Amino acid sequence: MSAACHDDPAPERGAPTGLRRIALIGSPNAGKTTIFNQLTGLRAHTANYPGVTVTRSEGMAHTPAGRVAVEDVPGTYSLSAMSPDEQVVVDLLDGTLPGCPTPDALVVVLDATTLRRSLTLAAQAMARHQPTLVAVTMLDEHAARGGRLDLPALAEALGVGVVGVIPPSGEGIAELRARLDRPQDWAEPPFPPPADSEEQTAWVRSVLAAADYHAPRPDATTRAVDDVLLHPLWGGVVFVAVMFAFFQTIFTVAAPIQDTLQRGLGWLAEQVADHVGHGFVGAFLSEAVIGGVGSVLVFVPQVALLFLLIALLEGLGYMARAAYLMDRIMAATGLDGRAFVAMLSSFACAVPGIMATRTIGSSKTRIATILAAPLMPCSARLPVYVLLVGLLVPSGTRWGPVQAQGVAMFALYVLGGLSAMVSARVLRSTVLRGELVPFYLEMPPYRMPRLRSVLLSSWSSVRMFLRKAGTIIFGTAVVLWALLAFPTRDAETIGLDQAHASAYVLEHSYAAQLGRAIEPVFEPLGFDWRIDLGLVGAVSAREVFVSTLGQVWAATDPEDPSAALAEATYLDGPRAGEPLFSAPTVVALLVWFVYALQCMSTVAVMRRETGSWRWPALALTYLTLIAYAAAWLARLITLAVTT
Amino acid sequence: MHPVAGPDAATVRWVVPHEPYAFLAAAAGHGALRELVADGTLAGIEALATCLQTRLGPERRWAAEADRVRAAVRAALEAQAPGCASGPCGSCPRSA
Amino acid sequence: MTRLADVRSGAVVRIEAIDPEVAPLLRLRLTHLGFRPGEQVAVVRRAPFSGPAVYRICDYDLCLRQEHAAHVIVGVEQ
Repeated sequence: MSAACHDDPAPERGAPTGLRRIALIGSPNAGKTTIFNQLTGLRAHTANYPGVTVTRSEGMAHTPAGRVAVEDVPGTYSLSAMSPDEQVVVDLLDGTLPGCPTPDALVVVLDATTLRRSLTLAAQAMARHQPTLVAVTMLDEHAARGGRLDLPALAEALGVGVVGVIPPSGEGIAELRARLDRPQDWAEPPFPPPADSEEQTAWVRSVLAAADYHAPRPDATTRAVDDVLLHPLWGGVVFVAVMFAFFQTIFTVAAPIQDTLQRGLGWLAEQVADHVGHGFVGAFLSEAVIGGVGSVLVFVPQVALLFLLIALLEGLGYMARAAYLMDRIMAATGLDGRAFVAMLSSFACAVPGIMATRTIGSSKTRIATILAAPLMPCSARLPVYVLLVGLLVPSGTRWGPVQAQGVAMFALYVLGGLSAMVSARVLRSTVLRGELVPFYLEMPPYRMPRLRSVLLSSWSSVRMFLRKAGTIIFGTAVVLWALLAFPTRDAETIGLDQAHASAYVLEHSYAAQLGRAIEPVFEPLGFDWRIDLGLVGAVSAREVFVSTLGQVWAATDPEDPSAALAEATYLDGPRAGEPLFSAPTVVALLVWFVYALQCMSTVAVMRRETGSWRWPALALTYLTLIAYAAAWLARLITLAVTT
Repeated sequence: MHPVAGPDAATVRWVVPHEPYAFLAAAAGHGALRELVADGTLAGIEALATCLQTRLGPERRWAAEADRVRAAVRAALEAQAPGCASGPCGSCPRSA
Repeated sequence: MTRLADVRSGAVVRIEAIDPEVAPLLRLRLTHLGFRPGEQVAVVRRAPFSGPAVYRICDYDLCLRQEHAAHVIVGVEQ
């Protein structure tokens, strides 16, 4: 597999050349991915098609005679492409996609309950002069809803082989595997079905008549549930409740897991300190390596839980309903209902949120969503907000019946969310204007998702997150540690206790020099070099801001750094002696964090998902400029209001 | 209608669900189809129980002739009952 | 000429054609989604404020925006 085809060349995965390649095509919701999972098990990996934002899943399936490579082509209703992303699928099947070999055979996966619609896809596939086989799924559901279908008659009418597959029981998979061995033996019609759409429709109707096809009744349960869930009022209520439960789960369920992980790491760090000592190697291991791993682990429970919940809601069929309910609002921002899921995911972390944009068909909408996602208040901002709001508003202050701190937090969240919407709108009206792809979304019947599918799909997302974001977060944490720990000032710190010594090293480290160097830039915002040091630290992950500040002020008061923080004053310059964390400065800092794209992992994932550096560069530029301007404006307003 | 492979490579059966034999027999004699026999595209047309069976003329390939034959069969069927070849089955008044 | 976007919620109509002025690719996409001459389509529900509507076409439920449903020309209510 050439490098053009995969972002990360991994010779042990991906099919070696010479192995037969089967492409699985079919509509979304047809059960294609379930078949793919059953054929390939865990021996699958995902990457990007070259140059576009479309995901590609490939795996190996065992057949009686050996192995075949199976490719799960993105679900589609039609092989007539309307966008570059859809064109990729066509190019792949045509064999004109650079670096990606042409499939040797096609398996068209059709849902028995929607055969009247999906046979046109089969017609298009059959026109490709490649061995084609049809796999019909959902036969049990079809029968349960009063549908009829004569499979052998269908095979005869189509002129190609037809295999009935019922994934839950695995029935049919064995037969499918066996057939994959010899595509050259597959039946083919004397000539392809008509290409003209009117003739094709006539052909479909005739084939179905010959196959004694009777359409199933609409699913009564789904209809009844949707009458509530999609009701203009009650649907909205349920939706808000589901979203609330969603966030509650992510924040509260993940927290104890995170604590346990942190304690485990703390214990590990102690072990290192005990057995390796406090010397250079010991410090590197316990602070940089374990600290770096800690920065990654902090995300994992929330990200994993988020993916799990989303996969569950998607598998149930609720996500389509959420997209329908949100579409009108999303349309106002130039996005569509599907972008909603991505924005939702960004509440935990923009990294999986950006990865979730893969379901969006239109590239421009997708890129706009990716560029706006970092503005959604992510969980990494939470500790920063907590710290800063604590400095701004004394705890216990109430405005009427509500906690003032809670109101402030809520306001920050609303600001972030609204900014994301506005930014998407602006992007869609300027740089990413217009696109032909219409917005439509199938509302599948509610189905109980298979636990295995849900786990598999969330696991593959988590794995991607760990690989990409994990390496960036870990890498920057280690680099940061080095910048904060060097140069070691052994000579100057002799005789100082631990806290004072580390504070001294910190204040004279390379990172601190960097902080002092950029101090003039942030001076109009009221930040001093120590805050700037925190901003430098936040580059790896926003919550590092909190721990960096903690380290700096631990010197002043090792017992209670937060008290020292609150009483900090400017050390020098025109404002020397004045409180550092005055209201205008804290507000400016808060607003900065609302807007600034500081997270390198987000930038890295943007690059990966959009396939170029152009978009992350644009995001970095526009978000940094807005952050600066907004922080400055906020400071000005606060000054005017408080003096 | 939809084509189905016949007993040999040169034969294709155009299946028309729900139509009685008499209907098909009448369609088989339609002008458009007779023309195809006359110019050698088809060697023969025959009405069977559920389909019209067409056999390719000598030196002809289905890949090249399919569209013309399809158009002619369609014309023949439509002449018998307009909308028969394209309407959803069940819309034709004579279907079961 | 009635457009699908104007059909009331709960009604069932038969599709006559897709507006010939529509871009060919969009036309084809609507066809592949099931909006074909002769097919029956039911308006299952409409969202408020001209949001998308849910239609039942070719045995499945599809959410489609008003601006696209306006391209589908339908006959009288059944």
